[in-house]
Amino acid sequence: MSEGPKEAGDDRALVKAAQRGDGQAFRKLVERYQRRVVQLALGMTRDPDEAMDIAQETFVRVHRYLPSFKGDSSFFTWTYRIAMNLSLDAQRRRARSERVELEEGDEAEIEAAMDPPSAALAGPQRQALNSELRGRMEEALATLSENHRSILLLREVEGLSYEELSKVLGIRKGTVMSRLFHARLKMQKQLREYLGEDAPEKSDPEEGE
Amino acid sequence: MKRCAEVVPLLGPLLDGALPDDDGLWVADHLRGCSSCRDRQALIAAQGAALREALAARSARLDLSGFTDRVLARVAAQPDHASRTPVWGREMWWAHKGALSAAGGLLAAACMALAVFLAPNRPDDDSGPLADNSPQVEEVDFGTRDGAVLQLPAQTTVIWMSDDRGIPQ
Repeated sequence: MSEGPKEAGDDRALVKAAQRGDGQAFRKLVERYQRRVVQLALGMTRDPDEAMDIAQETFVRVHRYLPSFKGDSSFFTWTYRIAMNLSLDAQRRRARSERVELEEGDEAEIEAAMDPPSAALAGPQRQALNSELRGRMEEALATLSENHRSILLLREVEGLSYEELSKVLGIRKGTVMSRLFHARLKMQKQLREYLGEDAPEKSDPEEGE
Repeated sequence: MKRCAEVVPLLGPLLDGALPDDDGLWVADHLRGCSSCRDRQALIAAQGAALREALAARSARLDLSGFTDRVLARVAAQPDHASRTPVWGREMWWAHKGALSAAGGLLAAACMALAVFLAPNRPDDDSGPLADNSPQVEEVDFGTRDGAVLQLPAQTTVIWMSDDRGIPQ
């Protein structure tokens, strides 16, 4: 759901106008991105009220910082970065337990990824199962660490490219790839648990050759 | 054909359109002959779609009417001078905090060195303690922090030029 060229061009014009003090231009920017920012905050916090507060604060800060926004990144990438930082701050304030995570080189996880998806989670049955999965998605998401939750939301829900993820999260592209891989695996593991699946038998690592 | 173990970490990037063409070709070639990896990739896609739908459904239920007005009201309530000048300062600080810290640290060190050098009780001849041991300032990477070491004849002072980077953001 990353912005297209037209939307980016519109953003630039609106940002320039807003920087000159055009209130209507700023209003349009808020209206354009409010739901996506709320959705991002909702995914991070799971609390609708807190998500609304974070989204509101995001746009207040966007307005405040707008004079110094030089357009090195796109407006929405910049806005998401503010929203993500505010979401993380809010979570840290609530002192939720944080997990230490391995950025890369976790052999056990790569091995786990070799588990073949069960019929319940893949294959033709997956469409029918999606409604049940949907009900569990937010729950599973909440069990992930902040880093995994944020990258999954930005990629899967907001459709940010790896380049954009790198900018919003302030990490290298290699780390984007690694973190996303582990985040998806952990999500799969959670969903398997919710579906009451035991760990599937290991597949033959030579399979597919 | 490549082994599944080599392909699995690349299934997501392939789906995301983030794999270079040359890697994409052999991963796609593997997928044609491996139903397990096709299922793995389908699972990544299904999981992403389910997450998108779940959050879209939840956020769609939120009433955003008046949201923009509330934002604009808060913006209007902020004094203009207070909202711009300090923010510019904060923005500059966060954007260039490393460089500003380093510059500040070196400036402080230089001032201290100059103060010592120009002190009234500085010996006139070259045999004084500072002549042979003039102040030295070195920028040093302490691992998690940057700092400068100011060495004087009687003391060594460390001037920190950056915050502790031990906790990644």
